[in-house]
Amino acid sequence: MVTNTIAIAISLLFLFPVSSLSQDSGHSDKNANELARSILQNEVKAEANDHSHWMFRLHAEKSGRSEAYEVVETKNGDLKRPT
Amino acid sequence: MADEQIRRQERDPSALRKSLKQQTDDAAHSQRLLKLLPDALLFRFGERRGGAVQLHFTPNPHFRPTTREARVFQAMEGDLWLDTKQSRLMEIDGHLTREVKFGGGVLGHLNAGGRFHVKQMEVAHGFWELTLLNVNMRGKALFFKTIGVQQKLQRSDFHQISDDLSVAQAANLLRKQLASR
Repeated sequence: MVTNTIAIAISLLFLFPVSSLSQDSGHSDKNANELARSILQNEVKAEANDHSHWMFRLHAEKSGRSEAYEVVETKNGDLKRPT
Repeated sequence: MADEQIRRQERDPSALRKSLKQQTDDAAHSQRLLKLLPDALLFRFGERRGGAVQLHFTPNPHFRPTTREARVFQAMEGDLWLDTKQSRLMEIDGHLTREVKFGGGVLGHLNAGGRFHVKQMEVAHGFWELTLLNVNMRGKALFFKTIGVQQKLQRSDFHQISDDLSVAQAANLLRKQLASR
C-alpha cells in the first residue's frame, strides 16, 4: 500500500510536469494565434474608423533617390512641399 | 520653388483626387491583406517588453490562398510586435523564405530573401500612424520585366489638424511652415 502510494507520487512528480508542459505549449500556440487574430481584427476596425488628418514630415527613398517633404492631409487629397 | 509646387497642387484638384484615390486603394488593399493574416499564418510567442508582445509567424500549411498576392503568405516568415494594452499592431517584419511563383512561374515570381518591415506608433492619444515602410523585393513579371521594389518611407513629427481643412487652408499651412524656416 505504502509502496503503491510512493509509486503513484513518484509517477505524478515526473508525469505531471511533462503533461502540463505539453498542455501549456499547446495552449501557448493557441493563445498566440488567438491574440494575433484578436489584435489584427481590432487593427482593421481601428484603421477603418480613423478619419483623422495630420501634418507630418515624410522621408522617401526609392530607386536610389531620396526626397523629403512636409505633408498636410486633407479630405480632398494630400498637399506636400519639398523640405 | 517650394511655393510654386504648393500653388500647382492648389490649382490642380484632379491631381489631388488622383493621389487620394491611390491612397484609398492602397488602404483598402492593406486592409484586405491584414484580414487574411490570422488565417494565413501560424503564430507563437516570442519576447515581451512591457505591454509589447512579440509573435513569430510562419506560413499556415492549411491556408489556401484565393488571390495571387495572398500566395506570398505561403512563403513568409517573420515577427509581429503587438501592443496588448491598446490591441494594436506595432510592427511587422517579414521575409520570403523561398521563391514565390505566380501561374507556375509563367506570370512571374518573387525572389527568395525579399524583405519588408512596417512600423506604426501612437502619435497622439489613441491615434496610430504608419512611421516606417521598408520594402526590398525582387522578381520578374510576365516573362521578362524585372520587378524591383526597393522603397523606404519614414514619417515623423506628426501634428493633428482639422478634419475638414480645405485645400486652400492646407496650402496656407505649408506656406507658414515654409516662412518659419
